[in-house]
Amino acid sequence: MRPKAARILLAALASLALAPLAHAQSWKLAVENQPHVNPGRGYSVQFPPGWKFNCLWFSDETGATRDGPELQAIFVDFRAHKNAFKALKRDASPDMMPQEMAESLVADMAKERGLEKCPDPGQRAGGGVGKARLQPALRVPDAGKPRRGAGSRDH
Amino acid sequence: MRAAGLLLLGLAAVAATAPARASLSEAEQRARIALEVADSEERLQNSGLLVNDPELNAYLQEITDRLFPDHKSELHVRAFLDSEFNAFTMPSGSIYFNTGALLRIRDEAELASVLGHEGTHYTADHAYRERVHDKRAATAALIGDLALPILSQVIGVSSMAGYSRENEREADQGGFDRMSRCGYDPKAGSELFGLLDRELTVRAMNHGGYFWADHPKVKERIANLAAMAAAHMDGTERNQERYLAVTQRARLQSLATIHRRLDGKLLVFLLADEKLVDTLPPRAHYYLAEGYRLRNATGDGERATAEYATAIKLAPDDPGAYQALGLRYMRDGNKGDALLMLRKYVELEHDPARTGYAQQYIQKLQGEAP
Repeated sequence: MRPKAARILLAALASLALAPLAHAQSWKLAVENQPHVNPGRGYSVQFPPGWKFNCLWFSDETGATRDGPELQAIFVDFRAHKNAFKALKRDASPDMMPQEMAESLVADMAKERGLEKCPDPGQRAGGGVGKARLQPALRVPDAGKPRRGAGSRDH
Repeated sequence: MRAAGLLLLGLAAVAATAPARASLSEAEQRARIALEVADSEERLQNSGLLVNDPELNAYLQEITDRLFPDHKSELHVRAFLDSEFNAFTMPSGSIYFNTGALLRIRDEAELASVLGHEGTHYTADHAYRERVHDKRAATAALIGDLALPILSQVIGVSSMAGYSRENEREADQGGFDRMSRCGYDPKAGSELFGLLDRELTVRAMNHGGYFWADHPKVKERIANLAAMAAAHMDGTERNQERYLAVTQRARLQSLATIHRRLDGKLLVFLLADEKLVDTLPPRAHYYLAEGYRLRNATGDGERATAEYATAIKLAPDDPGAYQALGLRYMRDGNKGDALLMLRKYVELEHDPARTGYAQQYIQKLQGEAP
């Protein structure tokens, strides 16, 4: 291939790769007591004050980060109850407790990503060798306040 | 579609390399197998899936040496972290025994029936015979690449994907002869396969595609093993007590893995229907209760509550059932009992990372209290 043609092809590929960013909205700063309302799905979520958040234009997720997505990020996903955990073929329900939702979410992720066989260091027979552990956590809504958070909205 | 395409491409590649394999001399074939085995065993060593339980591994080795005194320094057994009912042998003589098989096995005689079978694959040189006369091993390796990333390299050079019917029958016969010569109850093999047959039915799994993929149909194997046992009614040894003592940690670990997969149906089948709960430490009652909760069939809620109570009665220092009961009471609006149970859970759970939810629930319940 000629160098010029190669440069044009590279430029075209780069344009395609960067196209999603052209549609991305600018990052917004999370402010205390001002929950963000996802425009597509209508769920609301309060990110930690000082964090920046952004709606992902290609999905129903909202992402937030304090220092940059490569360093730390929170992604809030919206799922319909029906077949909410696709790999497990399980539904969610409005009365699920956060812990039940978390256990289903982790099992679903493990199955989807082929991690079911990976040992849990905390549960290995005869003791484990590693120290890493996945610790899923969702916050319980404060008493008396509207329910907010991952995958939940008032039903 | 993508997987099907890859499969077709792979099958074409297997077919293309078959003539090259066939043209190798026996020494070259064996050298190639040895290289592949060394690579696979290195992967297994680094996989984090080998059970670090010296007592258990020594016990498995002891039974293997008893069954194969003529191959004492050649066969080496290790327990392997996998909750499915399986075991596999490498052409090097290494046998990997799933914790899931240990969970389902109820005594030493049943253990001997599987070890005898696996050891016979090695002594009868099945790996080499199949490599020379059959393309199945390479095909199995390809399927493994698509399905089981960690084990993909292992499948093609082990008995994991199964051998031909003829070789499996030979291994059944060889294993049976070994175990009955040692004085084990000859009925053990057919009884163990009876459990497997029932499990396959409950899980609606194809008999041919579950484990030891192309084994003769399970019912046929049960019939064969039962017929062999009928002709050798002299052995009586079961050694259940020692087996259960040595394997209890690995068996519980296997239950924990099934629990993490949220497979309530399988937990209930194994622990209640097959009565394995009676062969396990008290914590198994917690897993049975969780099985009922996860299965969530009619009446399972009450069954779960009863089993949590049994777990607490038999093992009052085990925190799991307190947490589960706390959540159940919380859901039912029984705030007083929920608080009691969750506080007990937080008190007993030594790992603070695990108590985050319970702490939050307690705060919530306390905030709602009149």
